[in-house]
Amino acid sequence: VSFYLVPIEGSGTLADPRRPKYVRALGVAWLMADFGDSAIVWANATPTQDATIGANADATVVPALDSSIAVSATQTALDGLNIPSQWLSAGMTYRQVLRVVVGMAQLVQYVTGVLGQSLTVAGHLGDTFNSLPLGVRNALTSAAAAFGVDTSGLTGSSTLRQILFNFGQQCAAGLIPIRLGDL
Amino acid sequence: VSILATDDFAGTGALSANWTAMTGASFAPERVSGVCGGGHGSARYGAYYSGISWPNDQYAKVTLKSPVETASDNGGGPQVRTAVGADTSYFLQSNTSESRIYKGVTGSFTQLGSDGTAGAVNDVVYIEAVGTSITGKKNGSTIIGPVTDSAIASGKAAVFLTPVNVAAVIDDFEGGDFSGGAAVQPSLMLLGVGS
Repeated sequence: VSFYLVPIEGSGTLADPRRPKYVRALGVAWLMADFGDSAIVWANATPTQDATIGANADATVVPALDSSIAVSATQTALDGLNIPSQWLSAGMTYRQVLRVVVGMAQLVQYVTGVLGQSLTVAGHLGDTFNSLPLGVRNALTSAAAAFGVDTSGLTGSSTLRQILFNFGQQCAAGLIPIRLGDL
Repeated sequence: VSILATDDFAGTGALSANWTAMTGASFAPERVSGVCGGGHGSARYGAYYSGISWPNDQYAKVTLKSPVETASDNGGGPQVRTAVGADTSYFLQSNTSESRIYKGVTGSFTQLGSDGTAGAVNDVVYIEAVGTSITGKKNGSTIIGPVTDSAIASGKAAVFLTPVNVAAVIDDFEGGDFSGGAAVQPSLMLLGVGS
C-alpha cells in the first residue's frame, strides 16, 4: 500500500477527466484527494510499481507512513506541488503530514465547489486574506462556518498559506473524517 | 436509512413531473417501455428528482437493465448532490467494462478513485454522500471508496445516462437519507403471537 503526490492530468471533460497522473496506468486500486492541480493518492501498489511512479520527476512516493519525515525533501516535494510546507518540523511522521495535507485539500475543494471554478493556489500562498478576491474570502468564511473551524488564530493579514494550514491541522485532528485508504 | 423517493419508470414518454432536466445534460432521460433510457441517440442525459427537498446526506441507486452500456467510460447510474443550475454532482457510472465515481464541478469532471467492477444486467449500483465521505457500491458491496471530498455539500439525487449504445437503460431509482434510525421490525405482538 502506497501514497503518492502527483500532478493531476486530464482536461476535465467526461472523455478526458481529471485524474492522478501515472496512477491509473498501474491498474491497481486507488483513491485520491485533489489539491488544485495536484493529488494525494492512496494506491494498493507494489514496491516495483512504486519505483515506476517514483521514476517520474514530478511524482513523489511517500515513505513508510509512520516513519519520521526528511524535512528538506518533504518541503521540496510539497513546494513543487504548491502545497504549503512552512509548518513541517523534524520528528513529524509522514502520516501526520499527509493528514494535514489532505485536510488542506478539503478547503481547496470546498472553495472550488463554492466558486464553481478552481481556486488558484500557485503563486498566491503568500496573499493575505484581505487581499483575496471577495468571492474567495466569502468562500473561506463559509467553509469556516460550515465545518466549525476555529479561526481565532487568523486575522485579515493571515496568508492563504496560514489559512490552509489552520484548516488542514484541524482536519487532521478530527474536524473532518479523513478517508483515503489507511491514512 | 429512509427511502425518500422512488421511480420504477413505468410506461413510455417523458419522466414524471417529479424530475427536472439537469444542467449540463443535453436531454432529460425518458421512460422507455418501463425503464429509463435516452431517446435522442448518443448524448448526455440527466435529471434530478425535484419532487422533494433533499437532505445533504443522501444516497441514490438504480438497477442496470438490458442492454448495459458496453463502452468504457460511458453508461448510466445514480447521482447525488446534483446542483440546480450548475453541472455539479457526484455520480457513479457503470458499463460492462468498469464502474467509476466522478465529481463534477460546473462541468469539470474528476475521477475520485480507481475502476470498480464492471456492471451487468440487474446489478444495483449505488452512491452515497455522507458529510465529506463519498462511497460507491454495487449489489450492496463497496466497490469504490470511501473517499473524502468536500467540493459539493448539498444538492439533489439524480439519474443519468451517457450511452454510446443508444439502447442502454437503467431502472428502479431509489433515493434516500440516513436519518431514519433503526429499521422498523415486524411485530409479532401485533399478530397476537407471543402475547
